[in-house]
Amino acid sequence: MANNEDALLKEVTGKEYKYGFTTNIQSEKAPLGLNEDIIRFISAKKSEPEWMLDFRLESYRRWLEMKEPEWAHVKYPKPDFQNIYYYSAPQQKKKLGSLDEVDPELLDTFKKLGISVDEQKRLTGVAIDFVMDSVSVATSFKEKLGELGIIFCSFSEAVQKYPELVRKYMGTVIPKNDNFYAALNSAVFTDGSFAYIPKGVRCPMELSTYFRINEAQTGQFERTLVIADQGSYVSYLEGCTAPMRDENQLHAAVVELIALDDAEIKYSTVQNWYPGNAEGKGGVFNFVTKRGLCETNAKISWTQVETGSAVTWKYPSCILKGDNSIGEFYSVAVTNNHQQADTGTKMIHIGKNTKSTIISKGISAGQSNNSYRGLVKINKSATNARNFSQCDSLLMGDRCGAHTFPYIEVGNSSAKVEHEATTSKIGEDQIFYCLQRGISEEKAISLIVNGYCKDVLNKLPMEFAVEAQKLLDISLEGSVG
Amino acid sequence: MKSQNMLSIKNLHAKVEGKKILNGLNLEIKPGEVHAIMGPNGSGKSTLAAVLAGNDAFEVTEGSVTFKGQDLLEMEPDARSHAGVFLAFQYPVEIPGVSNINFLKAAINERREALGLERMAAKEFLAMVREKAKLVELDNKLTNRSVNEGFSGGEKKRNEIFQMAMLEPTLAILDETDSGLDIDALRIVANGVNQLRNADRSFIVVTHYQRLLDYIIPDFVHVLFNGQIVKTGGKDLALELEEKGYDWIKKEQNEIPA
Amino acid sequence: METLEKISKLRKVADGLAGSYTSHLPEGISLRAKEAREALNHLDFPSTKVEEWKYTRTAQIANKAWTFGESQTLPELPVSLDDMHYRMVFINGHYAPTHSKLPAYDGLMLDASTGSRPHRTSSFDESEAHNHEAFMALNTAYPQDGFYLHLEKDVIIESPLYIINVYTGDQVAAQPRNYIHLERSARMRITEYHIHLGATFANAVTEIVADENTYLGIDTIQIGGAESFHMQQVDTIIARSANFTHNNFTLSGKWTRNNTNARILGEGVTANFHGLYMPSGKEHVDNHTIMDHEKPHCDSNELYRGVLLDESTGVFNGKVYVRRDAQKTNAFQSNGNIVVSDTATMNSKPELEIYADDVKCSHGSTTGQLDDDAMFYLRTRGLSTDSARKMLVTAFAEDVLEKLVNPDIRPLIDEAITNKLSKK
Repeated sequence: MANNEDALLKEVTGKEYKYGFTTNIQSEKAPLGLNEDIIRFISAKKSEPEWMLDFRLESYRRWLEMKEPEWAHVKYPKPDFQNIYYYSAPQQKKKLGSLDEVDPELLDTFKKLGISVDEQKRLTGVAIDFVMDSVSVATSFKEKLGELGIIFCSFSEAVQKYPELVRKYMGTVIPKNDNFYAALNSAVFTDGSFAYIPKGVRCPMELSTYFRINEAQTGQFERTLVIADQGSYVSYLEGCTAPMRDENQLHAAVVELIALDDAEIKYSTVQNWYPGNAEGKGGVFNFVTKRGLCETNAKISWTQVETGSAVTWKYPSCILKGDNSIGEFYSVAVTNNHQQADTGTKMIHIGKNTKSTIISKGISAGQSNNSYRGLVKINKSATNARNFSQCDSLLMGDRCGAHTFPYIEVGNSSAKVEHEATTSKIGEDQIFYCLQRGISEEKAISLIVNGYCKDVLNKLPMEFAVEAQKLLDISLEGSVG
Repeated sequence: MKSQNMLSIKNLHAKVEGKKILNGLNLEIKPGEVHAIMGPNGSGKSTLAAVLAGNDAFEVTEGSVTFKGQDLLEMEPDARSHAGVFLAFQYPVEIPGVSNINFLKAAINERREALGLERMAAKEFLAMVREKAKLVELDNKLTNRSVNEGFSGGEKKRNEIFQMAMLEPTLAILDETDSGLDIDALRIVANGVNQLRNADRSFIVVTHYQRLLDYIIPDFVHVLFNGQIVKTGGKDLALELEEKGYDWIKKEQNEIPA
Repeated sequence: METLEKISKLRKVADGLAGSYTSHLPEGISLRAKEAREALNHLDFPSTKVEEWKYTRTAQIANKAWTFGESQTLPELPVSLDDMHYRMVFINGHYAPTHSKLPAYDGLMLDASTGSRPHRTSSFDESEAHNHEAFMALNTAYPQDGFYLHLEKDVIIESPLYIINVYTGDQVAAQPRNYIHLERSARMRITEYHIHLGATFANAVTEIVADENTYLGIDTIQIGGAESFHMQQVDTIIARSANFTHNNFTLSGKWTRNNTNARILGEGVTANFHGLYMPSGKEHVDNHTIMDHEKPHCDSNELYRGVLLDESTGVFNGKVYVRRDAQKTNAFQSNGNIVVSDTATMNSKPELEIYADDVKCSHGSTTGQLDDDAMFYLRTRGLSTDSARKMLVTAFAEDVLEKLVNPDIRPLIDEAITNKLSKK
């Protein structure tokens, strides 16, 4: 019996990482390491205004005083912060006006990633914002969105073109000293996305961004800011891939969402980081701070499907400040081989009649460890708050682990908080049962995993849902024959 | 063609966890026949079922099994299923999150694909579900639930027969289907099986208790003992066995003094 | 010394019973009885310091003088015997053949011997499942008539067998001792009544051995009065592939304590315990169950529901043991309670002890009040408060009522629910 399970697991971990390749484009790099000069270098390179530089420097000084966080269930070799290039931009001949002017080598990279830009432009109407190693390469559909008054561009561009907006909202949801990695990001962030939806406007298409980490030893510090003004709606997609590297790559992003009165933001992520090889070497360190602030009657939902990344530390949160605001978190996290994930969410209830829903599905295989850590905090002021949390773990084989740490802090007696957690296992006997009914092992695992995750997959925008489903299959499939 | 054997087992030896269970089992089954296999605990009844279905926890060390002219032992479990073998599990497995409907749809379509046929249309599929569910009095609630999740023992067994009706096998193996059932469940399950009997379909009914064979009347009864078939008879053999007990067999086999 | 005093209370009660004991015991039983009588010297009635008796006081039994009653004419009963095709009637622990009608089947041995034979073949003595020694010892020391039922293999009896135990008189005790043995593949249903009509104390013990592939379903209905005490022990051993259901309906009675235990010794078993209790006034109902899984691939289901009125009190303690070899066990336990008044109290303690690692077990306990919104909704549709309450309570009880092994007794229970609620 044991032999069988081993074989099953070996197949699961042996799937080759599809996106392991690099682009040979000349990069302009800052010197190795981090200090105030490097920060000035970055700011100058981007032609930033004075207030932006001050923001960075202040963050850097705070960061120096802070200590790296320790979490019990995640073990990793500490990154050497002085051994990283904090800025790397692919060389461009001139400023890009449209996709036609994009470097053909870059376009080729896009093709390898499986993204056919033209097709997407034509068929789905999704606006794409490519980020290649710290610089946004192309932003399409700007004109169309511009007609509605919607701003969707790179963060760097926003600092130049819409400084008042950026200055007003940046750092209001995640202050510079919020945590170690947020402080680092606030000092050295290079680019990311910026979106602003004006009052009453419903953004007609999904806004999407792809990330890619290219150079060795380059940390990726992107910064995203999405503002939905009163009564507006936007659905934002974020998807990631990364190449094969031996050294661990650091990824410390900050995402701030602001939903003003009656507004709604849907933020979806399908993430496919290189997970380290079967022995656990290499892979991406993923430390992300994502937080949304809801004003009165506003709603923010975080939906994510994650596979890969050597170490993930990520807690998308909602601050339900306004009365009647709603926060949602739907997540599928897959760990395999020696991956470790310590993820979860925080729902902070401040206003009256606020509601939060958490559905977290963890899948562990190999010798991985998957922890969910959630905080539901009901402040004294949060009369009539409602929360429902469901945290499930699916174990494949018996060398992996799953842990659930729900923290529930209720400071108001009218609150209704419900928490459920279940653990189940895909065992040999289920696989054999499916085989006996004529269903192949691959299909069986796919059926079971997709059935398990359907509550979350249903929340993704359609094009993402299909990709997510395929991603799950790929992360867990065995080879046939 | 009718006289040709559907299933031919010759000198089958098998072991599990290093222990020899089947010791030279021989069995011939023709289309349309119902064969009951009875025997004391540990005689190899469930092992036979598992080996025929292709559970690789059980190792075949010698012998051959031919199914419709093909070498069954060479085939993977899902290939055997596509070829027409169905096992009603003694302890049906729960698969949370996967509905009965989706499960069967996947099974039916994988078989069709393997046989080079077109996938079944949704409308046709649902009509078939309604028809077959009636056979074992399985209502809508259960067909839409996750496979065997939260089902009572009787419901799980009925679900096995429902799946059998949907997959329309040529060889159906019922592994102790009567275990732990109350009176009503037993009647429904047996009735479902009887409705599926026809000239082209054969059954191997593995059971420990004679009672089931009052409802599903076999053509042949075989007694399995120490991994071999030591006695074959008609349905009266089952009654004799129930009355005299397995000690009778043991004595005959010189295991215990007369 | 306090200890001596306690022992003497049990001793006192035992002596009172001994003085009025008229049964003649067969050889094997008298030996056991002798052992039990000896044991009475070292045991005492449990105090509330004993975990299993934390919420149930035995003082009112311990402090009274009880004697066995005489067999007498059948008093008027709340149930009609005519509806019961096969029945055995016992009055104050004495078999009443004139009111009984025994089935005659090949392979059925049924009689009402005193103390029943044989003595315990199970090893309930050794297992930790044994949870009240004083009452058990008392019954074993002075057992009265009960039913001894032995079904040979493959025998099926379609009609349920009715057992009616009537207790009447003043300070009268009765100790029915019953034994059931179903041989392989046999099947049977039993409908058992315990009816207290006076200031009575019944201490009933039933031992059951269910062999392989058997089916046994038992409905037990307990009806008591303002001065009645009912102690009931049911110990069952279940073999491979069998299906066993025990349903307990405690409709009324001042003090009721039920210990319903099963040891599952074979694979592929389905065992069900269901119960409904509706104490009112100052009534007290205590249900303790033990479901012990020793073998793999078995299912057990426990569903107990309570409706507590006035100042009544209820206790539920369900233990489920899943031993190391009992892999692939599915064990579900649920206790739901509706507390209709502010002054009723419910103590519920579900317990799971699991030593196997591939099992599915759950337990749940809820205690709450009738849903205000639902009540209001029904009122706006024209129902009186009483009718609305009855409707909601019946709906709540439905999950248990639909498990009745003998659906013929459903009207009786429905009526009992109505009566209990109307008094309110």
